[in-house]
Amino acid sequence: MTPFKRASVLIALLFSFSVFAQEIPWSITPASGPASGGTIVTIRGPIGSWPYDAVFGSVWASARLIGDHTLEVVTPPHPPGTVNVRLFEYDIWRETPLQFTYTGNLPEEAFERILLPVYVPPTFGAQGAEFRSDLRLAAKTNDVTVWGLVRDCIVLCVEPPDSPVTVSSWMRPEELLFSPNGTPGRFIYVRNEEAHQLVAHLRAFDVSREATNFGTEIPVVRFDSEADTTIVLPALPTDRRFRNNLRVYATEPVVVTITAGDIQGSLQLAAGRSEYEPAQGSWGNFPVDAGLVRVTITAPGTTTKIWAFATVTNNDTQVITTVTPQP
Amino acid sequence: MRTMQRRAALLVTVALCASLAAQPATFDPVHYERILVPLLIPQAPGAFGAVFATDLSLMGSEEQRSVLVYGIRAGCLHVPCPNQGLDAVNVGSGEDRLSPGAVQYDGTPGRFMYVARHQVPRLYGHLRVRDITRSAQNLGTEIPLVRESDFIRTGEMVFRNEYPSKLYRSSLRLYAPQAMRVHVTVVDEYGNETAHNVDLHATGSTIYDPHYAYFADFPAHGWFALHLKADVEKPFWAFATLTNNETQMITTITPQP
Repeated sequence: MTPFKRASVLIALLFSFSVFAQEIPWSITPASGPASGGTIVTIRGPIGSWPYDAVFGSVWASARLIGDHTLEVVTPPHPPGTVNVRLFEYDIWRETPLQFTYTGNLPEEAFERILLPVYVPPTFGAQGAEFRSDLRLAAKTNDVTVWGLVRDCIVLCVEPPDSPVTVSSWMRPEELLFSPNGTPGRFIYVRNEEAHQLVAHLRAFDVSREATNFGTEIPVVRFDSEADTTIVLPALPTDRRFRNNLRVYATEPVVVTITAGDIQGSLQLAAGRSEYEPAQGSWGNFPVDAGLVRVTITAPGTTTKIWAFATVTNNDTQVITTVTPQP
Repeated sequence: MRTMQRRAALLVTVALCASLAAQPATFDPVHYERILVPLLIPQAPGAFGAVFATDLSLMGSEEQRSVLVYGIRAGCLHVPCPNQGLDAVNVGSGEDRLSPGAVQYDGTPGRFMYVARHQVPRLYGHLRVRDITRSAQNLGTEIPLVRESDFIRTGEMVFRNEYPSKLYRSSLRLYAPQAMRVHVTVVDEYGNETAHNVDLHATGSTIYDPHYAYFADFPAHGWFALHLKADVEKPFWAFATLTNNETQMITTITPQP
């Protein structure tokens, strides 16, 4: 082959590649669907004949090659929002410019809803106290994707606030720092199939008294299984040297009735602004020096499940004792 | 004839007393749920003059006023207990609720109590450990009451991210309904792993006595994590505590969520 012919072939090949690339732009159809998943989407682009998986945000789905450069994927359940779509081709990642928008409400049947009852930025209290909440997460063996948290960013935050965080096994403490973003409670979500892998520890502590106590463990609540229509705390101490506070959480802004010893009251829970914020409220009208009192919380006229716990805080030392629903 | 009648009456009385005093040797797991009370001990002296005490409160719901709880000695509140044994306690919702002062704290250190499954949703409890010499400073620390469904059955449990310093002492308590071995791996802040075999031994001869182990072989200071794994898939439960050496304030780390 003469040099001229070689050059011609090379140019033709390059031209054909560029035409090829131009002829197969990335596309996804449809580009939106319900958060419950199940939308059959067609992805077209410069796709080979390897086995493919598609990843919506951070949730995997199997893809089926249905033609030249064309995949068919059934979307997996995902919290609402717009996510990037990536492909996993045999053993390498393929980034794409594609996005898919999940619409509607979070599919409760596919996710475990977990309540962080107190997850707030530093709050100043009496006697120089500075209360903080500290959340530590880990996975037992396999990674767990958690929606509803914001990872601490030291210099530059590039992740959108609704992007999930991936929790790994044996992460170092410094890798587990999140920005407390509850008001004061927070719902986080984990896919049902990963929920058993999650390990959590939530603690409220007074940073000004770290030398005298390590703080108080706050339960991390599997809300859908642990919440109930009636919550009873059988023995809440009432002592004038301590202040009592009751916190109530629900998925809907219901009115709850509270009985504490001889005192009755009601509390309108404030609605959450998103699926990550529970409806919640606090109440502190407890009897004083009445010994151990029974506290009953109900949401009359509704089937909405609620969860509640009380705290007893020493007015001087600011040490917190919890009283949670047991067993 | 009269003598025969007297004998029969005596026999019936003895049989009745025996049934009242009897301790069930086993509980049908179909009908009863086992609930762990991790600490149920009499007052115990601690460092710096501390005297630790556990307070247990139990209450039934208003709809179902009577919940029978087996395994908690209650000082014979409302039922005759001629042998001071582990008779059922009838826990009500009003004045007949089980208050801390009516419980005999004789766990070793914990205790299993048994409740009919259909009554468990109507039983409410609260367990607290406190230093009675410092009751003006704090009311202590809540300890969970653990349903058997919360026991670890996958054979694996992880505690993460504890930050003990020289100011605190750490301990791990393990419970199971049967004898078993748990492999405890301690990972320190440098990633060094130390493996331990921890055997849970019987603490008593009845079904109310959990098998138990206490473990405190932790790094003196610095971050560490714990990984617990059973060599067989038997249920167990564990929790860790961090106690301030000076104030004796206890912080729990329990399996969550």
